[in-house]
Amino acid sequence: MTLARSLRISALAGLFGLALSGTALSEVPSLQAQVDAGALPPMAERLPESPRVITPVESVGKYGGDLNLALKRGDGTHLLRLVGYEGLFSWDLEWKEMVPNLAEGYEVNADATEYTIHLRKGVKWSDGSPFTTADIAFAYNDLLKNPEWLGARPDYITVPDDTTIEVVDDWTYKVKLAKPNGLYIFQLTNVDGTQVAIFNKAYCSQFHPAYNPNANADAVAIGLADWRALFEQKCAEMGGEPRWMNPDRPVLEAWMVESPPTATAEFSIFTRNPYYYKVDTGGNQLPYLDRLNFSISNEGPDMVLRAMNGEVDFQDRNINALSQKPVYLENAEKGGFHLVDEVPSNMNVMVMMFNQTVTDPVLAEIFAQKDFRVAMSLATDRQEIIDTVYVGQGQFHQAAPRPESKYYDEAYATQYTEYDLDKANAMLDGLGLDKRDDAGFRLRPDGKRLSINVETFDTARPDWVDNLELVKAQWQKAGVELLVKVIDRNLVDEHRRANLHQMQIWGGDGGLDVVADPHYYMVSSDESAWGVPWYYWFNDNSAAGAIEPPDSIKKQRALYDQLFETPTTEGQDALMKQILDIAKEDFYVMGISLTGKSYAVVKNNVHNVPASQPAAYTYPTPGPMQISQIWKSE
Amino acid sequence: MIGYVVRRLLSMVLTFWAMTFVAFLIMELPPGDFATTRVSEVSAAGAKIDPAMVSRLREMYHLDAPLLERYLVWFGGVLRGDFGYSLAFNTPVNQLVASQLPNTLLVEGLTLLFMYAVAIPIGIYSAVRKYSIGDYLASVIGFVGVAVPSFLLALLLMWVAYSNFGTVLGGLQSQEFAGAALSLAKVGDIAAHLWAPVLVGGAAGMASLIRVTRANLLDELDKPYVTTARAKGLTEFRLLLKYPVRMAMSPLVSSIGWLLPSLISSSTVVAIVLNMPTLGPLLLNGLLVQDMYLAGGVLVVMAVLTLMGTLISDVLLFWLDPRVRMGVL
Repeated sequence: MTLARSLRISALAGLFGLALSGTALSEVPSLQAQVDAGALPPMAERLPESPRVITPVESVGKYGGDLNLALKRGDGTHLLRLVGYEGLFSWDLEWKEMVPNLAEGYEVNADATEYTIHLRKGVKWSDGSPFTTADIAFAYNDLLKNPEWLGARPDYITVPDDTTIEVVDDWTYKVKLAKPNGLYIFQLTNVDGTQVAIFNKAYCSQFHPAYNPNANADAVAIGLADWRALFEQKCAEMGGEPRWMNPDRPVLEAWMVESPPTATAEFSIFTRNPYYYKVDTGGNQLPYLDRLNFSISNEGPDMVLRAMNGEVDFQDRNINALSQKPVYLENAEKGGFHLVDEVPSNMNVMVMMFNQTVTDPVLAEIFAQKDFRVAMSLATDRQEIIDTVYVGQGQFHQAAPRPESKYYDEAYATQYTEYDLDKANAMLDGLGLDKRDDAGFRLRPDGKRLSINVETFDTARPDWVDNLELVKAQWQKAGVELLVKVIDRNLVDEHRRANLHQMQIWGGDGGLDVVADPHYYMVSSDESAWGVPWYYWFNDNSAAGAIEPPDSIKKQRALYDQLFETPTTEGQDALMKQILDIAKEDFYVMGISLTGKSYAVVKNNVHNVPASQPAAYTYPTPGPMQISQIWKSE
Repeated sequence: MIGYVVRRLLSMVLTFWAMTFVAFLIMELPPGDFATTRVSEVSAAGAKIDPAMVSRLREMYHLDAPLLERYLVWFGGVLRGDFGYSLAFNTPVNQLVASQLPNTLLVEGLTLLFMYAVAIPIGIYSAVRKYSIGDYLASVIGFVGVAVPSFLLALLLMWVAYSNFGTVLGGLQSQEFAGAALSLAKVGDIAAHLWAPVLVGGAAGMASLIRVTRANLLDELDKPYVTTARAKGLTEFRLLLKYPVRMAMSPLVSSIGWLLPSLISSSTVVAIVLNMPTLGPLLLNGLLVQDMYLAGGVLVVMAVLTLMGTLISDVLLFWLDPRVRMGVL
């Protein structure tokens, strides 16, 4: 609560400071007419008791103007990151502190099973109605905990029955958890946390069968499958573009949809929410910009050309391919823009995962040997890949946290990255794989050629297939045959979940969000393609397809469970470090090269964009920098 | 004539049914379904996935029903003119198709007109002035048009427009005219956007049209009736247009039928590159996310267009070419 108090004080100080200069609490110019006409209450009545005060990145701005952007059709995630990141808590710009946002603060009990959360008093939805614990309870009890709920269930409510919500008063509620979760506030702060604070009960409940007995019949009457389809049209969940299709839906975001980005729209416009609950340090209600103005594209090159032509004010998404950076720099002066840095949360351009639980027992035994995995890493000429596929941009890196992360361990990140074919061959010989066939490939103990199928798809990341073709030639020198199978993306997923693959590859998530996304460091989800049956065993050790993992994998899991029971960040860090040490020692999967810095395009007359920010999904770039404090000069 | 059209119509009904069935079948071929694609998409965006989501989606959209049952339900709707709901956009497919169909017909119609208007005169010219410099020039341009993929041409055009004129090609209209009533200014704005897809789409189809016209006409030019007509003293221009060119047109007319759908499908890539609000990108979107109602709806519309095109070309041929008339009578 001290945090909340300090916020209130700084808000008052801000108001007071500007009161002296005579500009405090002046109305937003574009809303003045509505206020004068009595259609809208004055600013002071629209704001909560203690608005969240945003410190502008550079300067207090001027009101007005449109932010012009390029939206790829169907890319709801872009909108989620830009407009939709309004959760109870929010990340600060550095991705270090969790800052109260729609909440004012919280308390937690000693064993991390009960959280008391205080909402910011007087926050209003865009229709002027108050945002209260009733809205939160609706989200939990009627949606996320509803067995029929169609949307995703975020990580803080994977088992719905384990969470109980107890409303104390309009602005206070308690979350009671069946199992301890020391990361509860962390998970609420991540982008998925917004799921609990986007449903206006008064509006959305009219489409819910618990409140409207005709909800199902209404939906079926217009040709929809059932109430859930109509609910998605009117009050869709946090991800995906359906959330922005209904202009009537009350929102808490800085801008509300005026013309939705439908499947066939060419443009979409968002306008200012007059009830937005944030102010700048001068007490001026945010946002500064009147509108967001998207022109919608079918993934074509026109988005990039528009950005180069200076028609896009501030954007990273879908227009910032690394290969285009030189062209942007060349045209920066002509287009009147500059580039700012983004540090990706990915730690690797490609992670190669030997399936240690592969159904072929001989191959499983080979993959299970650390020396084999090390030898294959040594037989990989990373410099050739970086030079050929990534135009020389990159640095050798294993599947390990990024240098910017507090978990960075240089020895872990660079172990076995040197190219040493002789040593690799010697190690493979030492494993008893010294016999070769006529073509020069090594033979397995059962006399078959040592051959590995690697599965991937080429639709999202064409560079992966290029990489694999190079690795194939490199490993051939070590006598190991790599067969590259390019298949449909769905099939890749299906094979992984059914444990039908020998090897798969993926991008290296979890380079910065190490705790949230550790599936390359330990078996934490069915994305850990190097031991999916082990993951199934952790969920239910009698389930079909589950295999008992080795002790070190179990130890990691025990440490991770312990981490969840630890309410302090320091305690969590120490446990995560231990998990990473085991991963370093056991070397489950191999990486190629550190993902390079990315960039965003910023017009020169757009202010308050930081020179560098993290880029991730859980930290939904650029949401945490607060788009509402961006302003444009002439 | 009427009997001929009726027979054509009857066979069209059967063809239409077969087309919808094959289209539905093909959409079932790729692994996975809408539910798995949706889940893959959500997880690719970074969100955590609840494994039960796949089964909930399947159950809600009846994706687990047998193929034939789903086909019959869908086809029943199609017969009533109801294409169902797009799974991906949660919007009636009718509404999506209806909003893109006029744009598509506008763009493709103009492309067709442009192609005929330019290619036929060039074809006639290069047949009549065989092996002249003009003929060679037309041939070279024609072959370049065939050889360069249209999306590449579109990209080149976009880059030239950007780097030399500082404009970005793409879209069908400027924002200030979106949703505005039709006015002279809006027509002008659309025209300023339309020339690029029409030029690119036309260039790709034009080459073959030039070659076909030229070859057909060359066959006719040496025939005795031409010599006779010339001997009777007809002016060269009138002679050319009234007799051999008319004969040379029959193969072209009979190809109108498949020209229409092939234009729509070949222009899909161009429409994506140039960001045109037409049926092509909608179809691709539907196929990518395995939204069989959306993709199926667009395919049905394309099937109907093909059938209509075939009928038109049959009737035209009937009217144009006495040999066809004699054959069917």
